[in-house]
Amino acid sequence: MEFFLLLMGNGILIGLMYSLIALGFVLVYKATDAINFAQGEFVMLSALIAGAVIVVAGLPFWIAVLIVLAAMIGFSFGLERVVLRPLLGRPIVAVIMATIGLAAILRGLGPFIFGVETRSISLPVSDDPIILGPFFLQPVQLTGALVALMFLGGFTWFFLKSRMGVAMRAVADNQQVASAMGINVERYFALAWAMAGIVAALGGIVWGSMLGIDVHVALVGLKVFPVVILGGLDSIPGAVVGGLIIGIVENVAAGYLDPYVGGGTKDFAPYVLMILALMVRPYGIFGKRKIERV
Amino acid sequence: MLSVRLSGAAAIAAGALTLGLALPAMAQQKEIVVGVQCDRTGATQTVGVVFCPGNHDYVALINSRGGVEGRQIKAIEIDHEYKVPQGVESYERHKKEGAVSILLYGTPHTQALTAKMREDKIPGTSPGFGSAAGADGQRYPYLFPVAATYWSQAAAAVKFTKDKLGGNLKGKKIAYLFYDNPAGKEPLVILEDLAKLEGFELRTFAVPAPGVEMGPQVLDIAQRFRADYVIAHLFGRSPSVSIKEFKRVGYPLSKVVSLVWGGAEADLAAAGGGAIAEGYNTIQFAGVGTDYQVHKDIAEMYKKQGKQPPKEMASTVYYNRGIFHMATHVEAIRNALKAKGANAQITGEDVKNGFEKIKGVTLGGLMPPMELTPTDHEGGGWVQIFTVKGGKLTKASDWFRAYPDVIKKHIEADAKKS
Repeated sequence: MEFFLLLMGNGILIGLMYSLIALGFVLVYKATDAINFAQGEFVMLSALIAGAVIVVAGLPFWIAVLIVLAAMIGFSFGLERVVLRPLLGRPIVAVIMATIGLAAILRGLGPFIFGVETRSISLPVSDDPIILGPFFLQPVQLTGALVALMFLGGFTWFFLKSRMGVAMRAVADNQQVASAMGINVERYFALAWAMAGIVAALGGIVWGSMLGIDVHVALVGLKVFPVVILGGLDSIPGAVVGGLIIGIVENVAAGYLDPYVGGGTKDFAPYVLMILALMVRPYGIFGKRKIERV
Repeated sequence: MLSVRLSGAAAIAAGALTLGLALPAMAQQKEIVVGVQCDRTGATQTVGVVFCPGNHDYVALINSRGGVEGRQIKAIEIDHEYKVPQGVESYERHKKEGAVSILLYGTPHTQALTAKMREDKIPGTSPGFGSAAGADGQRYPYLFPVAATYWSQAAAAVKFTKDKLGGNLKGKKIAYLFYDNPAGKEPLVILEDLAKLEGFELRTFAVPAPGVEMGPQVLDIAQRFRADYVIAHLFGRSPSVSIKEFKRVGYPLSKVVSLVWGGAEADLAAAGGGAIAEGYNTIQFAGVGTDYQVHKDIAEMYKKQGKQPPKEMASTVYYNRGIFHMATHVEAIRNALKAKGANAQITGEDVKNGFEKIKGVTLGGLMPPMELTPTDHEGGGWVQIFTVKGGKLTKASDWFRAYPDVIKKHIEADAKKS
């Protein structure tokens, strides 16, 4: 039982950290109806910038956070303006293909610009575990989970209560109607991408400090696909619930099944769950019942 | 008439083709070509970016001193991204370039190329990785592990663990945390055998590629299995992740010993620095640090060229192994030239015979007291242990080998399988 609780605790914290990355998918999808397949690479890019700023340039952690945030907002704005805006009005598959291409470019350019060595950055927390009864809480995971919760709450408020958030939802719902209502659609597209940049910046710093920084950080993006499919591509609460479910399932599966099957269940269990979700409820637990061929 | 023309054209084409194929081999007369497989990109790139410069710097040093028996060596590097198809392709390209020996990299690649090397009579070296049965020179005449194989490393890890746990492993629990690929699985037979022999409980924990997450495995080792010691066999990104994870669940790193691909300065740096990894134990098949004459010689060579020594020299674990790896080829070529004459055209077969005469080459302690023979292509299976102390890898044992009888038994048993 103690081991089960340990795995659960670990899964919840990791799951919340997945939610932070999942939020990037959700924000872009909510505003533009497109899935950003380069979200993992955005996270990787943020981590690489953080590594360069902290390890190579030797700047303090909090300055580095500001630099990464500024860099990712700038990058996302630029990307929206140069690559995605010309695709406005084109079939959604064009945007998807553009993001897939972008992912490949970033994976190649990342090591080319920042080098291939793995760098290590630390969040300003201890490396030693916090022991609470049966739980071994890792301060880095705890911090990551708290950051994720804070931003998930903030974005939920933004979309539900703020004027801009409502406008963004209107844009996502129907671009033409929103435009006819006087909403500047292009501006909200840019805002959505910038928000995805902010989330990627935070995700990059958190996951980079967890895993070490190099091109492998992009793999987190792959892990997050089952999260958003399960929770619902257009739902912020879905990102949280999906993250928690995937985090718990992969940890428990690895803890109990790995000894019998020789390992690897952590990686495929989320995808089994994703396929099941697609078969039973393709729009996810909290997603809108709208199905399109992609 | 038409058929005569066609046959004439075919003859010309065949002649041109033969000439084309022969040219690289003739070029070998001047420079002796050695193939270098490398992994500067891909899952294990952290190794290649330091290891391969070590290969090239040693060749440059030898060439700067007039070469081997007056002959220059040309090391041709091909990156294979630690992927088998690219590894096989790079072998073919090296063969076409007239390579008389090849520095292999990667257990899956070595396994894929073993039969081809024998067929083509080109010796290949696999220091510190598979296949362990390649130590049997009679059975694998063209494969040379030239350093402790995974079997010897596993045996050494058990001996080290035994010493650390008071000289008796009866009733103790040892966890084997491994990268889930052929290289990771290779030491299992030795560990299982030694578990019976020494009376310890062995439990295995597989980490799938690319090994950037192992939370559940580490939790299991530390909190459920409650291992007395951990033998880790991870590569690429996974050693640094394991160091972080053990630290975060409060498991003492002084109870972890890593096989050879999990204990470089780069792994410590990626884990957050030596201070994080305090107490972590690593097995090494080449010397660690810069306190060797060959380092000074390479630095001097750069100085003469008006250059600074490369930054890779600071990452001594892989850089030194790069020197070690190339030095075995240089010595094999030296032996081949000594046997056939300094100006003779040497073949892969000559170099293979040269490998089997390597003895007493230590590079001032960077290499173990190895001796390669026609029967033993491993050279004895020597290792050293280094422990992280004060944030740095510190020598914790002299060269040693462990359970040679057990290793021999498994080599013989493997030979009977085919």
